[in-house]
Amino acid sequence: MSSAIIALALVPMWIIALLRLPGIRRSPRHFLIAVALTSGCLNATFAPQPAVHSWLIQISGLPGLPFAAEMATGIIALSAVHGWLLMGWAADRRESMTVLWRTWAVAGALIAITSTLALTQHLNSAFTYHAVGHHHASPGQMITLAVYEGYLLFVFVSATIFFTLLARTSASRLTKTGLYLMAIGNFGGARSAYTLLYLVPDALPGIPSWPWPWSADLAAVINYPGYALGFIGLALPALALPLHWHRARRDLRLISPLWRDLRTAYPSVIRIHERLPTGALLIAAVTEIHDALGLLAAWPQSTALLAEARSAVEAADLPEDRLEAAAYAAWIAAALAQKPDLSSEHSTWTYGQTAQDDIPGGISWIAAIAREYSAGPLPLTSNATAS
Amino acid sequence: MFRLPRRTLYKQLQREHAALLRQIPDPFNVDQFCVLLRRLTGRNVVAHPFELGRFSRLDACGVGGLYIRTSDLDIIGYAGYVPVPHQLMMIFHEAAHLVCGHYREPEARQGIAAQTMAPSPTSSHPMLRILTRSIGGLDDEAKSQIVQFTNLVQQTHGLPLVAGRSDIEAVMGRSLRDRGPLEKEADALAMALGDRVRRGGLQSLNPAQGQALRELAGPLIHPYRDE
Repeated sequence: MSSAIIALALVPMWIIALLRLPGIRRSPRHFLIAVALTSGCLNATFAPQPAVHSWLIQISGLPGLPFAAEMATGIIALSAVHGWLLMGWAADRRESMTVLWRTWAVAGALIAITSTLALTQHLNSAFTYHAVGHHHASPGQMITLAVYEGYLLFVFVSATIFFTLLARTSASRLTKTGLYLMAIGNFGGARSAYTLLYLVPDALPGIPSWPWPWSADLAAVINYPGYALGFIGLALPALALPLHWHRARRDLRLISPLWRDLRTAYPSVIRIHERLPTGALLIAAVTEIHDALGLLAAWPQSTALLAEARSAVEAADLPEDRLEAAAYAAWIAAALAQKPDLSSEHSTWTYGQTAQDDIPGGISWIAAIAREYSAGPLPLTSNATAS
Repeated sequence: MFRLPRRTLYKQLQREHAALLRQIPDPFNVDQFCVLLRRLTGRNVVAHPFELGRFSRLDACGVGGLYIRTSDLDIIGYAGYVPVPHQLMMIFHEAAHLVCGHYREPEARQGIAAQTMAPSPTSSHPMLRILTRSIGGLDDEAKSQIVQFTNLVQQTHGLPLVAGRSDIEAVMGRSLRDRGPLEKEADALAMALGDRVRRGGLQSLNPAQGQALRELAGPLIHPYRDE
């Protein structure tokens, strides 16, 4: 049963870790995430493999090597998470790197000390461990164990607090869900808390032990669902990237006919000529359409044309949710048909009442106008148009 | 799939200003954005909207945004009465002038920017040169409105007023007519910032001004209300 749980957790963990690996060059934080995921996977895969432990001891002749390797990968993973979180608070790259070096200095010292003790057979959880969460060893070994488990617990607790705070401030639902999953996934830290709790009565026989027995099966697997949840949580916000890309493509396709006509009529609104990625191209399209409509709005005939367009859409008996967009589309089409000289003045204009005051709301509004424009705007034939 | 070919201006700016792009508030908040700019540049940065109708000459000249640098303050001015996405693009464009260092003397900058800002033989004062080259189409009335706006912001923040144009170190403006390399650079970075905010959320941007616009803008915003 425990092997099945471990295998079920490890498969998605490795997939996510390998998928994130190519992004390590993007920024120091990407690098740290990749380090955390890879060493976390190594640690989680290596820890429950007694056959591999025996093989390592056999080929190295060092009984403490499996423990040292397991502990080093664990500390590397958690210190990478720690550094990644701390860098989020740092203001610039220099500060970020300082924070990173300090974190890794602490982690490096911890790895060096515990590895030395383990490899010289002064510290080995396999020997000091006598029941789930319980250790009997010399006071020096118990202190080292306390420092090690304390560091793990500190990272688990601070990560839980960080992730929860970040989730509360995040606007994206995917990011929020991912961060909450990562916070929940830290329940694996309970094992460190339990070990720390029992270190005192274990080290000092006079003190009575705590009355909370711990199931050996539970202790063996408790970290794994937590790790898997954390990994899945980390992968969830990345799903937003293809979603945003898809939405940007869809909106761009809708907006393009209107954008192209405005650009052709008024090339002066073109702001960037070079190739842009889809998201930035959509922003460029909306910006240029705004600028062009600002120029069109200043054209003296625009007021009369817009009034006529509103009368036309009301007469056409269009559904209410299309009225504003159809009127704007008819106004733009009529104005473009006359291609007035707009080089003199500029005027402000704004969205209809139904548009939301944010970037997606603005894009939706422009897309609604563009949809009406592409579908064939209502023709305006009055004196205002003719003049 | 999501990668650009190398060596585009956009890509170059994305790399150079990765810290700004990474740390942009999500959801976006203009005050927190100014705090971020302050941290990154070491300067006191404020964003202040133009009131509807008060700086009408600037609006008529197509200036939707201004970056003004005085000895005490870096001011990002933007039309607070246009649609919110457009306000954001103005703020990002002006912020890009600041973080790209376009306010510097040409000798202090490298490459593309240095060529654009080459000293003009007809002007002697550095401020006038920058003003002339970046928003050259402005008349005297618009330029005096820039000084008025500067003083309004200085006063709001309890700082001494500027006596005139010569007290302003630099002015860059987002206009519809200037398409020099500096403007292209600011636009490209603004597009990158805009795309980040598109993918994130918007917490606050001048909500009171947005409401005022709805009340004041007339038929363009209340198309079905009887006039």
